[in-house]
Amino acid sequence: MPVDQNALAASLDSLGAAGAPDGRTLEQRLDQVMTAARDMIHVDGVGLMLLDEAGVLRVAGASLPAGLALERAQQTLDCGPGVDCVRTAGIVAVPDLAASDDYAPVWAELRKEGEPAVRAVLSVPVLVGTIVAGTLNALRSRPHAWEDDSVRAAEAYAGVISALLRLGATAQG
Amino acid sequence: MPNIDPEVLASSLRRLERVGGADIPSAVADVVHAAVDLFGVTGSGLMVADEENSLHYVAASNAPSKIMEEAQSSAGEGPCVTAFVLNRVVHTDDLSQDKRWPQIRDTFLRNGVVSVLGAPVRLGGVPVGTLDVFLDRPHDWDDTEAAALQRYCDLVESTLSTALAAQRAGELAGQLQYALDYRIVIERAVGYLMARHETGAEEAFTLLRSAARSRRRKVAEVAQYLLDTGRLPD
Repeated sequence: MPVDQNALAASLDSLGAAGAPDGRTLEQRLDQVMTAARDMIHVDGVGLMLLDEAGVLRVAGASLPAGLALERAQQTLDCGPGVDCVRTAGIVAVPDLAASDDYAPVWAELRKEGEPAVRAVLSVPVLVGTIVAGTLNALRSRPHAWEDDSVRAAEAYAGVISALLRLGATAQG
Repeated sequence: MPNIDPEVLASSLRRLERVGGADIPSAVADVVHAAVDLFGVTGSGLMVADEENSLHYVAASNAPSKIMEEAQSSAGEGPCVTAFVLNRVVHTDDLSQDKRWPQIRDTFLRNGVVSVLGAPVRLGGVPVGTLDVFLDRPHDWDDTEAAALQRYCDLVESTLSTALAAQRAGELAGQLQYALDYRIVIERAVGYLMARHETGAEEAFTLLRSAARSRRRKVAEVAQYLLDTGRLPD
C-alpha cells in the first residue's frame, strides 16, 4: 500500500515551519531506536555496525561494553555473525557463540579479556532498498534460541534505522 | 545507552547518499509497515492532523487500514480520533460490541477491522497525529501492548522529524507554511474550555470545532480568539 504522497507532503509542510521540534541529532535518534530495540526485544544489549564510504564495516555504537567488545572483535577479525549478515544480506542467528565453529575466532578474541559477556547473537541486515547499509545485532549474555518473534522485531527496528539513515542522507545532501 | 559514533555515521551517510537519494514517502511507509511485524497485527496506519486539527490518512500498510483511516477522517470519529483528542492510547477490543463510534463501525467491520489500538504521535510534546494497529479478530489489548505502541510512536516522531529535516534540505524547502504553534494554541484553548465548562477534552474540542464551523473560521483562529478574549467569537 503506497503512501499518499500529497498527504504526506502536506503534512510535513504543516508540521515543519517551526523547525525540528525537539532538536535531536540523527545520532540521538539512532540511540533512541537502539534503546527501544533492546527493551522491546528483551535482550541484554544491541549493537549497530555500518558500512563506511570505502565499504568497510565499522562499529557505530553498542548499548553495553560487552556489545562493543563483540562489534570490535568482528571488525578486527572480519569474521562474525554481523559480518556474515552484511555479506549475505541475510539474518544470522547464533544461539551460543561458544559452541559455534564458524565464529570460534571471535569467541577466542573475546575470551582474551576474560569470560565473555555475550553468548547469543542475532544479526539482521539494515537494508536501504537493495543496498546493505549495515547490521543491527541483538545480544544476550546467556545462550539463547532465537524465536521468530524476536527475529521479526529485530527486522522491524532495522527497518526504522534504515528509514532514519535514508532521511539523514537526504537531509545531509 | 548506546552512543553512536558520529564519524562512522557520517561516512555511512555519504555512502548512502552516493548510492541513491532517499525517498521520503517510502521511508515513512517503511516505519508504518514495520509496526505490523513488530506487533504481529493485520495492519497499521499513520494519520496526521491538518490545520483544522482533522486527521488525514498519510500511510497505511494495507487496503483495510487505508479504508479505516479514510472512514475516520470523513466521519470525524473513531478510535484514532479519540486517541488524538485525548492525547492518549485508545483501544477497542471488539468493535462489534463497542457503541462508541456508530458512524464508522459498520465500515470497519465490513473491511475486517475488528480490534484497534491507536496512539497519539507527538512532535515536541504536541499531538500531531496517530498511529494505529488493528487485528481482524477480537483481541484484548493489554497495558503492555499500549505502552509498546506509545513507545513505537516515539520512533515515528523521530522519523517525521528527520523527514522534516530532509524535506527542508530538498526542493520543498520554500513551501513550508504552517508552524506547530497553531496546535499549541488549540491545545490551550481546549484546556481553557475544559476548565470553564468542567467538561472532557472531547466535548471541549467538539465545542471549539463547532464554533469554528458555524462561523466559517479556522479552528486555530477561533482558539486564538478564545485565548485573547476569554470568549468564543460572535
